[in-house]
Amino acid sequence: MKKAFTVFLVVLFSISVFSVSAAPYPGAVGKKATLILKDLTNPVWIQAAEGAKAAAKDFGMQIEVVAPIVSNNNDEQIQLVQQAIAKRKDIMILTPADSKGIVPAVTELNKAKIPVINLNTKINNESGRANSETFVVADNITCATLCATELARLANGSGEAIILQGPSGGQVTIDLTKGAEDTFAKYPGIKLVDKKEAKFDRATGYKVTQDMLITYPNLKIIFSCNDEMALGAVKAVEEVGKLGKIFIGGIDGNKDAMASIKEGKLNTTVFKNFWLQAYTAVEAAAKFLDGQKLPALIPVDLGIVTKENVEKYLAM
Amino acid sequence: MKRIAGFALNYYKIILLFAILSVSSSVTQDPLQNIKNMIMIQAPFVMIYSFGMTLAVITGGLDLSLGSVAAFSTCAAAFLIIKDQIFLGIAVCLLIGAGLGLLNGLLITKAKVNPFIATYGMDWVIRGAVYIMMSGAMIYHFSNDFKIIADGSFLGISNLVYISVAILLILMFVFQKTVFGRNVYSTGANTKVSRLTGVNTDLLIIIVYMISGVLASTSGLLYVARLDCAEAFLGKNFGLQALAATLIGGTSLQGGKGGVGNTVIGVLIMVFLMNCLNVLKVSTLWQDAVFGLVIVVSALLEMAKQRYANYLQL
Repeated sequence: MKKAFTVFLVVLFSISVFSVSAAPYPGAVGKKATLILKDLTNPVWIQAAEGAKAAAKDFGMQIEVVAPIVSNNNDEQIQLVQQAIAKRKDIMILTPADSKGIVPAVTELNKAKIPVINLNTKINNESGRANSETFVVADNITCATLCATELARLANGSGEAIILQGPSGGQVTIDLTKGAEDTFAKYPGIKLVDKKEAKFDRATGYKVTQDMLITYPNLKIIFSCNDEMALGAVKAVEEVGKLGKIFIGGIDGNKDAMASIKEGKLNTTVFKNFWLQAYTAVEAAAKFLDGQKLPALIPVDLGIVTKENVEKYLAM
Repeated sequence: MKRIAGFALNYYKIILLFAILSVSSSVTQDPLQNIKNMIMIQAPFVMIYSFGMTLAVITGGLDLSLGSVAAFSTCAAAFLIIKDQIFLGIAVCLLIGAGLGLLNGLLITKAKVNPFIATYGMDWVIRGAVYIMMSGAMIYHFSNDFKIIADGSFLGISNLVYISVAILLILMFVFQKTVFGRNVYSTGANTKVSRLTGVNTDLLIIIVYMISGVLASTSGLLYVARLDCAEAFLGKNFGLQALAATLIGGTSLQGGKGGVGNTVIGVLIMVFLMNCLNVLKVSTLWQDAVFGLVIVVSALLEMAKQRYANYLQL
C-alpha cells in the first residue's frame, strides 16, 4: 500500500514536471496577472481581452482582465491598480487611459515590486518614478502616419484637411493628432484647416462633419481618430454626393469599417490588431516571469487597410 | 424702457435664435444648405428625445435613462430588423421603450425612489445590459425599406421633420387639451393636492415615463435607420442634452410648468448655437463652456422674468 502510494506520488510528480516542461515559459505557469484596459465596451478592447485570455491559457497563467466602468477614467484605473496590489498579483499589464495621470499608481506598483508590462499607450516616465519592463505597442503615432500618408496619396498631396478627434485630452487623441499633423505638414499642398472633437461617436461624427462640409466647401481630407466617427463622416459626405471627392480615413479596423471600405465608401483604416497586442503583452509577461530579459519596446504589426487588400483583413 | 425690457425678456429666445442664425448664415457660403441640415436632420433627432425629458420634468421628475433606453431597445430590435422583420422590429423597439419607462415609473411612484436616482441608476443598468447583449458587436447594413424611414423625404422635406412634427402635435394636443394632460401639469405642480382631488397621480407619472421611454426608442430607431448601424454606445449624451434643451426652452425643474413647445425652441437654440460655433471655427475646447453658459444664463433669465413679471407688466 505504501509502495503504491509512492508510485502514485512519483507519477503525479512526473506528470506535473512534464506539464510544466511542455509550457514554453515554465517560470510563468500558475502565476497571477492583472490586465487593466481603458474600457471593456468598445469592440477593440473586447478583442484585447480575448487575446489576453488566449495567451494566458497558452502559457498556463491566471489572468484577470479589468477596466474602468466609466471608460478612460484615470481615477478608476488607479483604484484597479491598488486592488491588484492588495491581491498580491505577480505581474501587472497596464494600458493607461492617461499617460501622466497613471504615474502615481505605477510608482506604487514599483514600490510593491510588482513588475509592469506597459501595453498600447505609453506610461510617462519623465520623473523616473514609473518604471515598466517593456512597452508593447501598435504605436498610435505610427497608426496616424500610415493613415494620413494614405489619405495624402489619395488626395494627390494637396487640399484642405480636418481631423475628427476623440474627447479632448485623451492620450490616443493627442498621439493620433500629432501623427496626422506631422504627416500632413510634410505635404506643402495639404492645409490642415480644423480639428474638431466628435466624442469618438458615430452620431456626433456625422453631425460635426455636416457642419464642417458647410464651413469648408473645398474640404478634401477627413482624418478621423477612430472608425466610428469616420463612418459618421462617410454618411455626411455621402449625403452631399461628395464620396470619392473627399477622402476619409479611420483608425482601429472595425468590421463595419472594413465593410464600408469594401463598398468603396470609407477609403482607409488602420488595423490595430488589439487581439495580437494583448496576446503579445501577456507573452512578454510570461517571458519576464520566466526570467528572460525583455527589450524596451515590443512593436506589434500594424496594417493599413485599403480597398485593394480589405478582403484579407475581412477574412481574419 | 420698461416696455423694451419686457419685450426682450418675453421674446429673447426668438431674438436669440435669429441672432445666432444670422451670424452663422453670414459666414457660410451655403447658408441654405446649412439651415436645411440643422432643421431637417440635426434638430429632429434631438427634439424627439428631448420631448421625453420635458414630459418627465413637467411631472417634477426627470429621465436620465433616455440614452441607454434608446440603445437597448434599438439593439434588441436590430436583431429582427436585420432579418427584414421591420414592423415586428419597430414594434419590439417601442414596446421595450415603454417597458423600461414602466420600470422607471414604478421605481419612482411605487418604490418612492427619487427620480434622479431611479433614472440615473437605471441608465447604468440598461447600458450595462446592452453591452452584455451586444458584447462588442454591431449590427449594420439594414435594408432600404428600413433606412427610408429616416433617409427618405416627401415633397423635399425630410421624413424626420414629418415624424418629429407629428409627435410634437400629438403631444401638444394630449398635454394641453385633454384631462389627462391637465392632470399631469397639476400633478407636477403639486402632487399632494392633485391626489386629494382624486387624481391617480402614480398612474399618471408611470404613463409619462412610459411615453418618455417610447420617445427615446423612437429617436434611437431613427438614428439607427439614418446611420445604418445599431450599436451599444448610442446616445451616451442624450440625457444631458435633453435636459439642457428642456431647461433652455424654459420648462422649470420644479414641475408643472413649460411644455414640449418650449422645448422645440430650446432644441433649436442648442443646435443653432453648436453649428454657429463650428462654422465660426471656434475651437471645440470652448464649446462645452459656451454650452454650459447658455444653460445657466437661460435659467437666470427665466428667474428674472418671474421676479419682475409684475413690474414689467408681462
